[in-house]
Amino acid sequence: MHVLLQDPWIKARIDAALTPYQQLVSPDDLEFLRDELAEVLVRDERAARALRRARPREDVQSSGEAFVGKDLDQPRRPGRAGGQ
Amino acid sequence: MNPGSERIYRQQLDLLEEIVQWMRQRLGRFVPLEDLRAHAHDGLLEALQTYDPARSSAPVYFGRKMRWAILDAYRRERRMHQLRSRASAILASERLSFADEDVPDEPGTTEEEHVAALDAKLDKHAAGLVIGLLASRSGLLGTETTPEEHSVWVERNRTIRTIIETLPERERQILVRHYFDGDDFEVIAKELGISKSWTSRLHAQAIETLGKAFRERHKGES
Repeated sequence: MHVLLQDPWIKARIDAALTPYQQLVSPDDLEFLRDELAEVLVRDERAARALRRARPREDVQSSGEAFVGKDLDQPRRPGRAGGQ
Repeated sequence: MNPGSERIYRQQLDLLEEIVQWMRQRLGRFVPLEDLRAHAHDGLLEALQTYDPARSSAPVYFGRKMRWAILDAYRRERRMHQLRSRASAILASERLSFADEDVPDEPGTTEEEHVAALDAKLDKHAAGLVIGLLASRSGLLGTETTPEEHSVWVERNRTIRTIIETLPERERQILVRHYFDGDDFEVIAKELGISKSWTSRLHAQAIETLGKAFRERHKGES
């Protein structure tokens, strides 16, 4: 499971995006789609920015900042700097 | 290889290794590392021929070329269905990122508007991933292991084709040609008499329309 999916707010948004397709794909594929949507929020600079702008501030302060901010601003793998 | 190209080539070898590991994680652990390296290396060599430092930074350009070389090779794979469909799905999503435009952070934008912008991006990528995943299997119908599996895929294929048929003509053509017929953007652009970058934008627009159609269909069902 992608590390961003541990964040309930992000997971809820991703699950909402996948709702129309739940009957069309297998559980394995659904898991793959969740992981890839989470990956978009890391590798795609514009999507990462959209996430930073959209994230509720109270959530960020109470739990998400250290986790989300760290992951997006300082990619674990330097190669992801070339992710766009 | 001239000395300048050789220097750039050597500088990208660490990036190649990172991309190979990253793509294996995304495509599945069953994909042999050596195959991934070979495909990434093809992408690296191609990028050396076309790289223009005035237009893009080396890690971004070479990184994309190497990832897309891997994905393009596996989206043509005919033996391993899962690998083929995942490669096609990831490539669709990466193409959307490439064609995407930034949404300016205007003063006064509300939190709800920021959330809506994020949701729109996720909706678009979800639609791209799903069409890549499902359409890539349409060419393999009849090769499923069980009759039940075949029936499921025929039904899924019919659903996605039905929705694509409702799209505007040019958007429909791009999706069918690329995802069902396996044509590259270069070929589609040439036949439609438009540039490759315009094809890429129309593709992103088509995926967005497709996503809306799927959501409407879902609303109608629930």
